[in-house]
Amino acid sequence: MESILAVMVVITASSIFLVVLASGTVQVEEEIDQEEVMSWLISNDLYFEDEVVSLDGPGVGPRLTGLPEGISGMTIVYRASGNSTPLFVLNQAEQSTGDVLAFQRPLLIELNGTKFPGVMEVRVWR
Amino acid sequence: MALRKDRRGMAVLVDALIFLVVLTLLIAVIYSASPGKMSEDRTERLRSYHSVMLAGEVSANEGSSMSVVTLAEYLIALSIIGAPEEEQVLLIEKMVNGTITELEMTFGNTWLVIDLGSAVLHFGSDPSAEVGDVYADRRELGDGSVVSTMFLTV
Repeated sequence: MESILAVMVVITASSIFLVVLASGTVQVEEEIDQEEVMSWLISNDLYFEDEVVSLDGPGVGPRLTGLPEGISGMTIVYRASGNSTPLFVLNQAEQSTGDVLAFQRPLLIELNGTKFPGVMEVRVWR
Repeated sequence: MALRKDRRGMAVLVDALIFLVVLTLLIAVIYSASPGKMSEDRTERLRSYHSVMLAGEVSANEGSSMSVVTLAEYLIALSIIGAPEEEQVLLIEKMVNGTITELEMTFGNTWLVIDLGSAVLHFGSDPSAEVGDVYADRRELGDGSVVSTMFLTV
């Protein structure tokens, strides 16, 4: 009897453990892929790895005209490195209902005729 | 007889517990492999911040006698001229401080060592006080006479 109970305990514990693992895996698959978002930003001229984002002059600067597939909101902030004051903000958003993916990338920013180290901060959600 | 059965039952329960412990350890080992990716990511971030910093421009009205040049070009020029003057060191400090502050806010203590040949310049937090993993990105500029190394510890 005890043996049967012990085996049942093992099976139950293992099942719970595997379910927890599986749910974790499913959740990972549902997360927003940062690299996919980066590719989209590069293809839409919002980020350049070896070039400069120019914020000089009225009407000049990156524009957020759409969103990646499956994304309902995105905010992009361009600012100087080490300075939290935004220089340029792009926002296209619906209400965030779930997790928000936030990351940042360094880039050169051109403002007032000078190119200086800056940061692009991205917040994106489904 | 009942006592023997109890012992058997206990033995099986202990086996079950050992099984769970082993399983937990196995998962812990699998998850401990992920810091490798994190380390790679930090190294990559450090490299990209360092690149952008060196590509930043030093303008003529900021104390340089040259026209607009990148920080990397400015450092190469300084190494040819000789030991930098205090004003030039302050200009370099102004150019690198933003990136160092940014990395410190995002990752951890950061410092930069620029070897101009004639002088070695240190910027950022004191490396002697650091503990933990240290990541470094080393760049040889020009013909290699100038070396810029950015360190990050977490």
